[in-house]
Amino acid sequence: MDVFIEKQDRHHRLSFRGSGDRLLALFDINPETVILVKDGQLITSDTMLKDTDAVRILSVISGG
Amino acid sequence: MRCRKCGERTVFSSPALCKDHFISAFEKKVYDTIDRYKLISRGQRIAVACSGGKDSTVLLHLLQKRGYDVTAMAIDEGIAGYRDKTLAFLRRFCFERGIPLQVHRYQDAFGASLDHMMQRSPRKPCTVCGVFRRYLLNRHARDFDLLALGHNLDDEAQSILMNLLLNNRAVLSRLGPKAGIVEAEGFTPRIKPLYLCREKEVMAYSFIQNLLTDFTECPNIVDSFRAEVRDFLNDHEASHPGFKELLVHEYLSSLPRLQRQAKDSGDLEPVGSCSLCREPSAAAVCRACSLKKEIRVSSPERQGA
Ligand code: SF4
Ligand SMILES: [Zn+2]
Ligand SMILES: [Zn+2]
Repeated sequence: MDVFIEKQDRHHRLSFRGSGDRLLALFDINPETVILVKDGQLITSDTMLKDTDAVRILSVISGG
Repeated sequence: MRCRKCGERTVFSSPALCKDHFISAFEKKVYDTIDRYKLISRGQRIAVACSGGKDSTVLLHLLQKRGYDVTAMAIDEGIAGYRDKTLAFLRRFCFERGIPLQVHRYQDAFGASLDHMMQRSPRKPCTVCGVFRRYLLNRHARDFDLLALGHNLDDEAQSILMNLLLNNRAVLSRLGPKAGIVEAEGFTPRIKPLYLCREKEVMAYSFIQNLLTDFTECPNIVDSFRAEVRDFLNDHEASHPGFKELLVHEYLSSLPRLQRQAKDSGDLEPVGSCSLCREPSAAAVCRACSLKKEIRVSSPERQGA
């Protein structure tokens, strides 16, 4: 899976299957502070993700 | 998770709504806030304080969509690599939608950019930035009936908790969707139509409506008290969902009492004006003028003077 964390401006490659919530927990990210995007679409964090998915994690908190 | 209204795939979880129902619920929440708190009367001219960030862009979009008379007002502090990017986005946005845009620059008003000022001042950038930004917004908003701010529910929950922790009753009495209960001369009333929208909702809406610029962060951002309170609230929200909304709603129900107390204790004395720039100020010299003197930048241009 390819995970792009916008705030870090970084891609992470990892083997992962499970919910968006579990993915966020893996990166120690509070779901309240981000939105999840898959294939250009907003998804909720209970969505089940596959190893072949590319997910973007966008920060909700504005920068200054 | 399925939309609680139609059973389609959800884009938002609290409440669980599909894309179309989320959009209509979000817009309804903003317009209901405007109507319920009587924020805007027909025909009023509104300056929207815009940074190019998601909150003010969503606000501008929604106010224009409902047919209000809006002008975008941006402050260019002169923060290289940050504000130039967000303002480029805002310029394009306003151009494409035919929204008038005013950009007021520190360089023109104070003779130096924030970056430049920081080379000669030991002060924290955010202190200087905030004082000068409020000064310029206040002065230029005077040509309008209202100044609309993109403050969302998270911003307000942070302000409420910060001022509770500091026991700052005077400030507490002045928060709310229609800010500033002093009808002081020289102050354009400030309104916050996104008052009841969580930051995450604003972000989701701006993503769906394609109102987002690339993520950029001010290089001066530091670990402030606000950031500490924000992180606390978000952590708490994760374990106690609904807490931020509860805090803001409890605050709103106490607001009439806080306002009465502030009035009785004289915290709301009418403000005078600065002896140097004649802008409204409680002190003889306003904070902008004293900071300006301290940093030794040239005098703010006077409107019509
Ligand atoms: S983070 Fe500080 S310096 Fe940067 S825009 Fe915000 S208030 Fe100004
Ligand atoms: Zn639906
Ligand atoms: Zn002054």
